[in-house]
Amino acid sequence: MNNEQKLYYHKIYQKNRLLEEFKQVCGIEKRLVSFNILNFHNRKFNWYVVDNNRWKFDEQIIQNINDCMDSEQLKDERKSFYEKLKKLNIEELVDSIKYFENGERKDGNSSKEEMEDFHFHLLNLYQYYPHEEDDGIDGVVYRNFKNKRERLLYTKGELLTDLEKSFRIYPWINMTFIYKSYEEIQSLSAQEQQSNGAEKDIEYTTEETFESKKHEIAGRTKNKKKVESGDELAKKIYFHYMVPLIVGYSHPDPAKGGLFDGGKFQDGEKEYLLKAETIRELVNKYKYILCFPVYDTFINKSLYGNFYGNITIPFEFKHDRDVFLKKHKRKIEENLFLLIR
Amino acid sequence: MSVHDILKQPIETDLLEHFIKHITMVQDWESIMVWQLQNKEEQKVAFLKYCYKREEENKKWVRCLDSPDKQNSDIKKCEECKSSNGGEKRTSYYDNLKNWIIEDENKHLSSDEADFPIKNSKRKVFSETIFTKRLIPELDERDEVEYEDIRLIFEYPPYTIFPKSESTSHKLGLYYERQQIEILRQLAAKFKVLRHGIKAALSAIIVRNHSHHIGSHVMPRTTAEKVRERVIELGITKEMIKEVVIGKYPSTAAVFEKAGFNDENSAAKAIKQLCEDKNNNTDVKEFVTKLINKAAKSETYSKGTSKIVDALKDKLDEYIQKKADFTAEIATEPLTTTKTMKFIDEVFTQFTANTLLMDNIGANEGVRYKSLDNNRLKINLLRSGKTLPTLKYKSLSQTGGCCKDKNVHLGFTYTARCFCGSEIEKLCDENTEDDISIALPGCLGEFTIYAFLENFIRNGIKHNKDDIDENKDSDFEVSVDVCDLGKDCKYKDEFYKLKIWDNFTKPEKKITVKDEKGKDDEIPLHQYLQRLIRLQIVDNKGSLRKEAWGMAEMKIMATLLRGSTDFTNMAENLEITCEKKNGKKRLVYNLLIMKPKNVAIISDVEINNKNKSQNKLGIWWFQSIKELKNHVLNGISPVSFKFLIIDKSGVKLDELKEIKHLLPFRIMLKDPEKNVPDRKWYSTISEDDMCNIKKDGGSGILLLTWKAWMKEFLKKKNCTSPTLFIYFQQDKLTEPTKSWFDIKKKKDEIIGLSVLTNEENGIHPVSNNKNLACKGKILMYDRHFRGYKYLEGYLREKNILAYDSELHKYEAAPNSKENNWIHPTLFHEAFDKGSSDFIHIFAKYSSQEMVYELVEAALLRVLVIDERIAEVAYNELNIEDDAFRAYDDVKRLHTARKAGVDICTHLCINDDRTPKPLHSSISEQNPIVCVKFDIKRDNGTTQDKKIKKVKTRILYCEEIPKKNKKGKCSECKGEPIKENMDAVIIHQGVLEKFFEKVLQSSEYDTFLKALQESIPYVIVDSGRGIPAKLPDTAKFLPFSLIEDFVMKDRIAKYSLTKNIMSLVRRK
Repeated sequence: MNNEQKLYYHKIYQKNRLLEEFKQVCGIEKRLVSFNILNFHNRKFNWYVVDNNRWKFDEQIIQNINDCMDSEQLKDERKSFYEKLKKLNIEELVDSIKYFENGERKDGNSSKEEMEDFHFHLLNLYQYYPHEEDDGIDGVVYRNFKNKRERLLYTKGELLTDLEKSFRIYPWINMTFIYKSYEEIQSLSAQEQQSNGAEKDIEYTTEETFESKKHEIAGRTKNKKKVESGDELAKKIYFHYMVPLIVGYSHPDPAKGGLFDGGKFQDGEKEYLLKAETIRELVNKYKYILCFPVYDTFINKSLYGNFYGNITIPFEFKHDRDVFLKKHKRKIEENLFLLIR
Repeated sequence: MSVHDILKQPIETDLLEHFIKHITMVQDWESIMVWQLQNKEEQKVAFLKYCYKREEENKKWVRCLDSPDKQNSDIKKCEECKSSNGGEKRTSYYDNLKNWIIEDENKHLSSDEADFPIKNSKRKVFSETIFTKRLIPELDERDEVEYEDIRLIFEYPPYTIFPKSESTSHKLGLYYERQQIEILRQLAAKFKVLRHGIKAALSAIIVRNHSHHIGSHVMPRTTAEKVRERVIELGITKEMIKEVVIGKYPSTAAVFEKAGFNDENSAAKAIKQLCEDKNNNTDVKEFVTKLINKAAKSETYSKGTSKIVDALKDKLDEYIQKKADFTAEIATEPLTTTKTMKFIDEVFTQFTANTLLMDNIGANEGVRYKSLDNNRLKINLLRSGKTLPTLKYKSLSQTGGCCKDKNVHLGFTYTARCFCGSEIEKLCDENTEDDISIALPGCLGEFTIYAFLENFIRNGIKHNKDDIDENKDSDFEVSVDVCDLGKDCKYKDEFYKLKIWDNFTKPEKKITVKDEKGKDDEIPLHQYLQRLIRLQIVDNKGSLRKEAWGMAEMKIMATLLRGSTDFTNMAENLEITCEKKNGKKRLVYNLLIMKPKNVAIISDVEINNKNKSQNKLGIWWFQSIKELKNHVLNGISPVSFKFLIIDKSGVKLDELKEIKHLLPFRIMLKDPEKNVPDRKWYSTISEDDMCNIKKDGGSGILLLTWKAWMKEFLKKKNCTSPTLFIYFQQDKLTEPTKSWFDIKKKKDEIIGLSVLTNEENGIHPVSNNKNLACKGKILMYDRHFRGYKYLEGYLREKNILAYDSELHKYEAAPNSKENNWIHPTLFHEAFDKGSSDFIHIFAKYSSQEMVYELVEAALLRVLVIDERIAEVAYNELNIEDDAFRAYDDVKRLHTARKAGVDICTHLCINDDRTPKPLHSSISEQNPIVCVKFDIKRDNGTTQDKKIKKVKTRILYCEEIPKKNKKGKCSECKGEPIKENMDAVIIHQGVLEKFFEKVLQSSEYDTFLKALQESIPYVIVDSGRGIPAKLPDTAKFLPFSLIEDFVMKDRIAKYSLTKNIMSLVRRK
């Protein structure tokens, strides 16, 4: 994020600025930390994580995005995506949708200012995209907190990537919730919608029960919608293109290397979009996670009130996570208030 | 989401709801309830107004119930909200909340809820009262007053994390409250900006629409030349056409024998038929033009045309001028007062009788007068669905009828004259019983209805042009129905519902709009228009939205008619529905209009039952001055009362004085403070009268109040047992004269009544003769001076009066038994078509209340200090010569004096004997009415000299005063005007110009209040809306009304008095 972007009042800039300060204070500058926030108005999550290299776009990326936005193949997906955002009725978002939808966007040969505009509008679409309160890691943490109704201190998780048949992209997680009462609750939790309203959190107490529950989940079939509804089409643009681009997923074509640059390629049904399998592989790179819930009120050196958001720190190895937790837990807990200013 | 997201939200509701609707962008709540606290029977009660909560399924934040006042399905929702999720237990929780709000002790309330979805959970809420300027300095005063008794109850989500102990948990609430205050400060500032934007937008919309309706559609067709042509065109009847055409083209004589000429065809129609004859090859247009030109030059047909053209144009000009004043009032301070008018007789007859407007507003599309008395644009009036008889008019010809047929009745003719050329007047026989009084917003409140109608008519005609073209024989009919609200509706005592529709617009016509996905969608017209109504007139930045201005103006007018000035939230005031009327679907505009309020009584009696049964009759009981003040400022409808009675001992006059501007001038105290010398501004009411009022069920209270007031008023004016003498130039069996005889039969012990009628052979008295002989106590409302002439004849016959032909004066007859002769008429007002009083006096059925109103108007003494009136004070009025005898002269100054209006011509300020003429053009005129102001200040240093007293003396000088070298009157020879002046109307410009050296603008308030000590009713007038420097406590009248009442060829004292006496100033 450049200095000028730090002055923007939009939440994605403000929260990432605070996150940067928070990381400095906690001494975890090098770590990838995402901070996703609950929108109280519709109780859906917004994602704000942006890769360090994606705070600006070069001419090539802008050209790539433009090509994608003009692609005839993705016409229906784009339309559904814009419709979903329009329903939010947010004035600024409407301007950004118009920017892309009506072809007001500039190309790679534009001035610096115009390129910044391009970047600004794309990030706007990204930051307002609504995630169901039940989905993803944030959803898992939030719903367990709500059900328990007790201060949740932090959460450890391990992605169960081996249960391949039971998820589409985002795998089940073996979660451990640590509450203020020092009670630890272990649960197998789903990040995705389940067929026929099947249970999403399955608590277990022992290693044995863990195995049997895991076995039970392995028997479940993933929730695969055959008909591509408008929402599913919208998700394709967001999860299969925009997130990989902004969050900084590796390029799906190993020959190209580096980060996904939004350019044209085809390894699935449609050009530009990453296959579910590809995303899953990229996500699975960080198997272990650590989450700290953030509450919205700071009183007497402690956070109270309502669930405001969730910071998530991914790790490749369990050991790294546990060492990190030991070393930084106190500092993190003490400084979470920096994120709600 | 963050604060800026809230600030960017479009404003569709009031500040409070806007805040609640969007606060979840920053804070997470399970529900927010809006409770209203009220005092009932000196006990606090609380009721739930509405609340926002989470939708069951998708957790969206929505308004879950609507105001229980509303008559719609939302009431059901409200009930569900109070009792859902657990039946009785939930209800007890609701009651628990209610009690807690009333007790107002703790900020937090916790309650164990076994019925709550999760076991062992507690419902926690906290209460807020933050809408005060102490916390939100940017808060508008209006909002502060409106939300004073609102309590917000915030319900936390069940999983909220609280600080450890219950005792410190309030800190969480305070944290959120601080955050909310910051948001509210910014929102309040935004609302302020928006209100300014809306105010500017209001004027822009009204002015633009006026310019379109009147400027583009009416004015170009109402040049003198065009009106003249139209008068001739419509005025030529069959016989006239025949004469002209045959004279010019003798061979066409046979055409006139054909069928189709049996009715009163207009010239245009007749000529068209004539020219359509196959044997006649003449070009129609050319022929018509020729004919009209010919007719216009013809002495026979153009006789009187100029007079008619002038009269029609005057009426239109008056409409335009009053509308300009009305617009100015809206742009400055709308709805500071209200006035009462009869819906049909006063509001609608004025509109329909403005024929240049009625003829031209739809002329572009061919909706205009087809013949002299047949306008294609018709307005039908209904009362609760029942069609009222069409307004009919009849000739005023001396033969008693028109064109040989006494029973011919007409629609309102284009020329306001009959086919025979005589003036016409309305027949009162059929509709008056169904007429109702309504309260209108402001001194020119009828223009809200007129502006609404202008838009309604233009929209209806413009958008149905093709249909109108195809159905040339069909009239464009506007129906206006005044309905009572349902008996369960909370508003039923204070409002009527007005329903307006036309016979051409198809409510289900499909309109193409974009749906949420941007696709074309078709919706019926009534839904489309309702969408337009929901649009704010300004965008989120306060800039005027440039679309649907006609609908915007109708919404503005509906808001004013409903008695509201909350222009930020107008959508609820106008509703468009599709309804069946006479079997056909019609597009119906629904709005509320205010019911008048008659008497406010502050009393110790048990008021609840009285209010329950008497509010609908306009009688309102209060327990305290504070309660009354609150009602006037924040009542559902802001209608001004005609009377205030204080039936309570110990009321502090000072307390009452503080809110005098909110009260009518008619104030009666049962038990005033003893030893208070100044009794000018209030009157007393006897124990007996008060007792009768308390005993009455309600329907007789207004009359009892009038009587009590009148007794004291007559005493004050030193005029006990006066005679009201009234003459309408009608026979005994015609209304309204007929109804005056009914009143006369009832005999009032404090006022005598004489009614004159026309009979076959002239005028005969029908009243008790002894009333006519009484000395100086005849109060005469007289059409064309015939009553006055009759009285003269009678008095001469009785040898009471003699006329000195040399002095042109009446005096006591030489052998009269009377010693100190006084002219018998204390008051004389000649009312006819030229008077603004005409429709108000003539159109009404009589009533005892009207007798009192007329007597009060006759005896009220009003001083007018306005340079524009002074300028025309010496103009000779176009009035009957009888005025020389009745008033000593025909100048305005004299005419006005006889009507109890003194026009100030000169001012002397602070003992300066150099009377300054109010207008330079009258410096050499005489006699003069010189008003001396003596402003006494406290002793002390120059800086802190305060106005202590303002003394006034009003002097009448027959001749221009002789002046010494310094320009001062060498000796003041003015004859003091004996009668105590009751009211003064002073122009704001006079204050600014003539008092410039002795008064700072910041002292106007003190000055006007001090002036009230010598003249109790003080009113400021201006032609530019409410002036910025006018103090908040000063009552205001727009200049166009003063002009209407005092600057025409007749003085309209009755209308002037009616406007003055109920006037209030509600900032």
